[in-house]
Amino acid sequence: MSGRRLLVSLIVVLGLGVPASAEDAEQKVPADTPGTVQVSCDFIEITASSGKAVAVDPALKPLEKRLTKVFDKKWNDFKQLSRASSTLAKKKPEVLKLKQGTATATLVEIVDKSKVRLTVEFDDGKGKANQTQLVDAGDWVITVIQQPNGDGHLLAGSCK
Amino acid sequence: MTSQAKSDIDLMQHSDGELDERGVTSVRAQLEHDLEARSKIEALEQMTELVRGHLELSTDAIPDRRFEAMWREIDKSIGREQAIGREQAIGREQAIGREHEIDRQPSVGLWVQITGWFERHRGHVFTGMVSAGAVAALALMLRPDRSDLVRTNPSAIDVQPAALRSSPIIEELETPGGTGTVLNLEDEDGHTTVIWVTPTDTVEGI
Repeated sequence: MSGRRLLVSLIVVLGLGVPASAEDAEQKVPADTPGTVQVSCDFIEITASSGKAVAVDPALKPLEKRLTKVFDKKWNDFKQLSRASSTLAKKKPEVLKLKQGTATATLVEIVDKSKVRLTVEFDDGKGKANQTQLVDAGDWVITVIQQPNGDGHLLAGSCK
Repeated sequence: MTSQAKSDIDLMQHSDGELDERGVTSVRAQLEHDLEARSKIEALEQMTELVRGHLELSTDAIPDRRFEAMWREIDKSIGREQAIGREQAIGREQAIGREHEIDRQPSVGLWVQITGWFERHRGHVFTGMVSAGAVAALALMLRPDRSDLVRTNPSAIDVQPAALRSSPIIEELETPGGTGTVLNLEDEDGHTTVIWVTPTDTVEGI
């Protein structure tokens, strides 16, 4: 047998072996072990201040109505600082990259197939908030750390 | 040789078409004024016709079977010569190390031809089979890893209509160095929960 034929035969043997290994892996890993369940979550870092007129960053369009309704008496100028679309794996803390401070989100579990239990840790140097929340998919939780100058540093999160 | 004898020979050669151009002209000139010579020419032509007719009849009298046998012998002879030629050609091809070989006897059976072809191209057939296996193996290797599909389900939760959702529940809240307030707002888009953290050194709240 020539060297080329021997090489091709080896490829065939190895190729036939790989799928079997992948299937073994599928069978050995239960679907609900840590890291096997994942949800997609959006986290938006926002700075809020008071201005002469309402000004909402176009990037915040999906949140504009909520922001202006909730904070209308306090702030009217909202700017997006950062945005992260994260896939959270069960019980695996996900570090969120912020412009100011640090944040970590962890998926605890999925409840009733439509809710998530999350823990979120948010620290911007001025204030801290560590919380566990149970929230429906599509709803928003906004953590606000009030700044000494009266502005707000917001971290809004929603999963689906 | 007398002139009469020479003239008769010329007439015979003329009748057989064996005279050159000068001889033909000479004989034709003689025939124009020599009645006896014309009679001899006519007699010669009749004789030639008789002989030709007899020979053709003799040929027709030969049975067709004999002709067939004769042609078979001729074909065999030609076949033997061709076979010898092929063997010599094969010998030359093998001598110079070529892989291609000329076809064997065209009259061999179909199975023999197929097996002969397989013998000659066996290496190619196996190479093709192995190549096909390699392609299949590569396709299996490069396919999306199905184990990931089991492990990752990016949409593991269902988004319910806003009217069917319940208010978010803040189960635990720690605000080191500050105070926390939770607010809920519900509208047609769903729920919005605000966790307001006021550091202790910050006087103003919502």
